[in-house]
Amino acid sequence: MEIGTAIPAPESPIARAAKMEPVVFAEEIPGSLASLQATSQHLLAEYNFFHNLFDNAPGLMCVLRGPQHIFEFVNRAWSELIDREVIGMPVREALHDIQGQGLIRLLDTVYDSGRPYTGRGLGFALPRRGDRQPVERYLDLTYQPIRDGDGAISGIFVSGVDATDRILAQEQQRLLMDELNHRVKNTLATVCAIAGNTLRGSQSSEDFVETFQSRLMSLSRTHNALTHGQWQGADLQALLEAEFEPYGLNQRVTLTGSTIRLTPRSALSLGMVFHELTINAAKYGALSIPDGQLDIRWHRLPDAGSPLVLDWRESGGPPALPPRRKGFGSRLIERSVAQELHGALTIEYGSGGLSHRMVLPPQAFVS
Amino acid sequence: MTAHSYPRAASRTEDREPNGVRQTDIAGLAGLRVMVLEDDPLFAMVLEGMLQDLGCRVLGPFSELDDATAAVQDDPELLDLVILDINIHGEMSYGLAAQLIDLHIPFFFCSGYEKVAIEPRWRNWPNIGKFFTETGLAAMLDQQREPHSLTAVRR
Repeated sequence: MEIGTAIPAPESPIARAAKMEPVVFAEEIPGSLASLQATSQHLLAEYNFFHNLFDNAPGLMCVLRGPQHIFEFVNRAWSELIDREVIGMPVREALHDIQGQGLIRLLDTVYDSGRPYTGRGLGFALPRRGDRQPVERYLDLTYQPIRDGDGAISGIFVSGVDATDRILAQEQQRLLMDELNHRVKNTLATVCAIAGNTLRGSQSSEDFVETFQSRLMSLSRTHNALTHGQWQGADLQALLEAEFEPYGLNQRVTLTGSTIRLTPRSALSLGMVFHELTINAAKYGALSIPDGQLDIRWHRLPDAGSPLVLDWRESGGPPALPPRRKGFGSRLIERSVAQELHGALTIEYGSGGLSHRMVLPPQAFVS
Repeated sequence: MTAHSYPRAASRTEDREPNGVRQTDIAGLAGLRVMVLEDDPLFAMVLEGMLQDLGCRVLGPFSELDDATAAVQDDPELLDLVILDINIHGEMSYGLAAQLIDLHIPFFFCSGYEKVAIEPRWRNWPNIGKFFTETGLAAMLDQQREPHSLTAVRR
């Protein structure tokens, strides 16, 4: 850091005290000599005591002298924060590269008006020595005028705390609130779309309510699985288990496959797909009769670019027939796999039930 | 309830019967050829269903920007109106929107984006959002069916 010529600091009580030596007086007044020596040693000890307290305090402290705001004292916390030598230098010069937030103007105002100033969460980009990147810090700072014996302002006591953690936590909270709002809005729009689609395929209002509620419950289970994964992903097996659990179907369903973490988008999409397949199996397919079985297997080759292959195989159920007219469920399954997830879907209408094979590209899951 | 037993969405000029039941006249939306670009299957299906209820002829719904662009370029004469989602698998449909302006094909967005998230040029362009009723959709179709003048795009 380039520093110009430092303007010498005016002598101040602290500076004087720092240079103070025990004073030796003429020997003809021995009584007062001993007393003066004791007093001066006491003062020096007291100076050192407070100096140490200030120096080691976790808060930021510094003393600025005169109208030029010359650094007279900085404690360790402050030194570490500004990462430079400043004693004896005016603020304007010492901190020439961090004069953000009207730093100097505020000091001038406090010095001229005698009124203290407190600022909260003041942001500064603080350059570091050497090649290190500047750091961003938020400070709560108080500038308090220092008055000399006759009441005139002779300096400013700056104290404060590093509030960076608090400010970043507030910012994080704001981001989370925004994200939550966004998610709630999306979810409500999804619910609205599910309502519209469900109504279109419903035969009666009872039928509508039943199907609509079961779709919402499935959506809610997918949300649970995503919340469990901090909305970074959801476990495929957990998603499937959650789908069968409320139907008490676990015994008749086998799930076989390695651990796969689906992206939030593909989890939401596949959650609905699995739900439609399950409803269909329970109403018309292998799970609609006591002996029917459902076997779900998935696998993927270990290399990063390989797709996920998932087989949904119903057996022991009534023969499956292609639908005469494609309802919401079949269209949703086809579109979700092919259009939303960019995968491939093969459907087989077997004598013992339906089979679906889904091939999903690596973008659908996090490895 | 079958798909055709819905109360029909009504135009802005509709009257209500004394018993509060809406008349089922849909003021000329029947036969309107509407292209839809929407990558989310749920919303695509809602739009498709509502448009069909309103008597419109649906082209799509497309879930890929390239497919929709090709359909527009193929035969712009086939389209009376286009409904565009903005973010299609991470790609923005603004380029297609600009082409629609050049071709004088009316369109509106169906995006869940907040205004600030939309490119300034298109920020004030009609956007029905992801939340709408069939009545709302019918009203939007009715308002937007005439091509916009280019000045409407300028801010």
